Amino acid sequence: MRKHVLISFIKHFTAVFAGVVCLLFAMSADNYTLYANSVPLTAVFSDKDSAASRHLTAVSGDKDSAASRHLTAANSETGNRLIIDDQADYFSSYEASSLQSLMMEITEYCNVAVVTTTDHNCRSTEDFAGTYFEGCFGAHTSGTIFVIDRHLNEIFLYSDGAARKTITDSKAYSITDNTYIYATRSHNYDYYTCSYKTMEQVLTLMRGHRIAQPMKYICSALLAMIAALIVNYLILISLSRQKKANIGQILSGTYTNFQIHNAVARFTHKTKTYSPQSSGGGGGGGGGRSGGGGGGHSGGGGGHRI
Amino acid sequence: MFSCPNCGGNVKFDIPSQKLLCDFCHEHFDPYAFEDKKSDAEETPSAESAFEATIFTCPQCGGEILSTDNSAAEFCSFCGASTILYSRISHEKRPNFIIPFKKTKEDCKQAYSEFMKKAIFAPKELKDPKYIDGFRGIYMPYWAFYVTQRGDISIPAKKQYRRGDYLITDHYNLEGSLDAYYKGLSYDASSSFADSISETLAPYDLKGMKSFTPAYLSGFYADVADVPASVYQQAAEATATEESIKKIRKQPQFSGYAINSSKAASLVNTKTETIDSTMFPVWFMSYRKNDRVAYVTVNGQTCKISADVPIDPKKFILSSIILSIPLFFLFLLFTLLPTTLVGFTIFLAVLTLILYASELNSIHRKDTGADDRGMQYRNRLRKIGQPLGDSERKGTLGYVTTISAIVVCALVLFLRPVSDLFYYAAAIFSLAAVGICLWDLIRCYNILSTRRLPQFDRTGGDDRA
Repeated sequence: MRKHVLISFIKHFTAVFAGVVCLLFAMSADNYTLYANSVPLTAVFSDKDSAASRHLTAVSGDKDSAASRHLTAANSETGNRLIIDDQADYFSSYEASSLQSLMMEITEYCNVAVVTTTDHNCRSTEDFAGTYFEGCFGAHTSGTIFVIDRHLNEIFLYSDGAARKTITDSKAYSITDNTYIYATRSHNYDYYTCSYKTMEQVLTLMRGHRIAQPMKYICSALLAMIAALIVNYLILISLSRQKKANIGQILSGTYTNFQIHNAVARFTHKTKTYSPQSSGGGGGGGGGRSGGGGGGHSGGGGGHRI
Repeated sequence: MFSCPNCGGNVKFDIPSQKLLCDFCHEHFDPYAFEDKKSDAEETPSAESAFEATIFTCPQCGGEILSTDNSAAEFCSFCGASTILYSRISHEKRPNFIIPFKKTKEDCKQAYSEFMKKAIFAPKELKDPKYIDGFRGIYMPYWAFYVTQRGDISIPAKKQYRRGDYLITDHYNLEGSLDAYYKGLSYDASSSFADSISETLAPYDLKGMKSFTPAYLSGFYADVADVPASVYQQAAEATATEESIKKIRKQPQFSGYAINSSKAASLVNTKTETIDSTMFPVWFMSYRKNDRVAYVTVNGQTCKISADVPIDPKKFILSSIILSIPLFFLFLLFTLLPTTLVGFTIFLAVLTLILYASELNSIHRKDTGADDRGMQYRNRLRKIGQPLGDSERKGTLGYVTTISAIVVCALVLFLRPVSDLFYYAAAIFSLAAVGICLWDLIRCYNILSTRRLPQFDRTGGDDRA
């Protein structure tokens, strides 16, 4: 019988898990094709390049050097800028160019930057991203910045201003979770694809479409299953507890009488114990450090270890 | 068996009229009217202190119930076995008082049906009308203590206050002439009737108690008293003492004085005056599954229920799956990272582990009768050690899997691998471990909500039979 119930449990569990997975695929079917296909990027880039170039005015030329590559451009219609600051020299000229073409489309909505670094003084990648963003675009400006940080081994997608309403922290975590894998050893540290896919998903969000969030769904599904079992058990316990009669209820069904005649509290003696009162605590300690670690950033985002 | 004075038919106690009713001529009779005539099987030389009854003994568990009827009993209430019980005529000690049944079987079935509406995970057999029809009216033996506290008292008390760096204590004696009594503090006198059941069924209104006459048993069964009053005497006196000290504290003349309860307890002259053997009405039903038995008991005076309700694992899993759907959408509202997931699963695994340990402990206490004075007495009498609870034999799986899951999850969080797959794998492992632990917990719950098959020493028997 127990075996039968166990099999039934496994069947139910499998069915629900399969259902949840199907639901995830259904909810993000359009986006899964985006990740699954392997259309040569060149074809996509050349196409988008021509479309985007109509609206763009070059601000600064290609500063190609042995150490780094720094590209900036501005959208003449919206005034939004794009920056590719490849301090770590991860992109080839061609890759930077194709990335630029994609980012040009994002400038229709907000400022955008892709930064790579191998060395900085910030405490976290988020801090680095925020500082860089404010240095380039200014605080509270609508924009997004994607940082590949090999100093702290993390990627981070930071957004501020109006862009943050679209690229929420949750979405930023989902995007970086979808793309971090390209920046790892398993994909031979393909930083370009990582950046390109990230920008692609940013653009998808900016256009009002949905992106796949498998991490979110998997985490929620697993947690929901565990939590449901425990919550259900707690409900079961609370429903099944049977109240025992208290002493008052028991005595209500008995014959009781209580009387004290001639009740009096008779004083016998007095004792005195020395017990000094505390003097109210010691003086305060020395002054703490004034100031602090500097203000935070107005924006936020999400990242992933690489 | 009592016979109708008019037609010779069977007369049985009729709950609505509180009289004996003839099955054939439907005439009502005062139960005490049969006191002198005796039942057909009741003529005994020592009728003052004893009455004759048929004792039915279960061949499987050795449990005994008595009746004034001699028709064969076909199942045992204690172990749930469907078998013809051995019967013999016996002279039983006559109880002093009895609370006759006030609630009919129909009232009891209705109360039970209401109760079971809340038991959403209960096996459907427990709601089956055929099963519910198995309620049997049984008079349970109780000891009713009459405890008094009379005489002059002088209880040390003090008042304390501060003056500068000194604590000043004024010592007093709280004096007076105490006149207190508690008549009817009752404790069940049957080892087959767990203290936890009688404590849940309480209170009985002893003001509805009547002098015992065997006619009240007509149509019902009665359990046999096998735990002496001395087992509960200390508890009855402690209850009376505690209650009186509480009342002493509330006396206007004594308010504001600090009393040492343990010291005061020895100064209130607590004394047990009389101990009456009584019989209280209980509607009783048992549900046997494998080597466990569940009891449903209903107070025959108030319809208060004490029920062992096991759960159906299939229902539990199905409802958990249904509950997980809104929870899934709720979690979607939050940003859940793989690290958060693993951290949260550790928390849930620890919670499960605590629940698991707590339930195993409860099962152990229940199976060994650690909180049941009647069972402890019986065990002492049989000179057996504490029997091993099922928990001690089967508690390993839940611990091992859940602790392993916690360790693995903690390790993943500590090592912080880059790939999310490690986090998901740890979380799935944790989910599986929590699932296994909860599965075992449900099994534990079913053990906790049922009882070991009773094994009475009255005639022997094998509890695994």
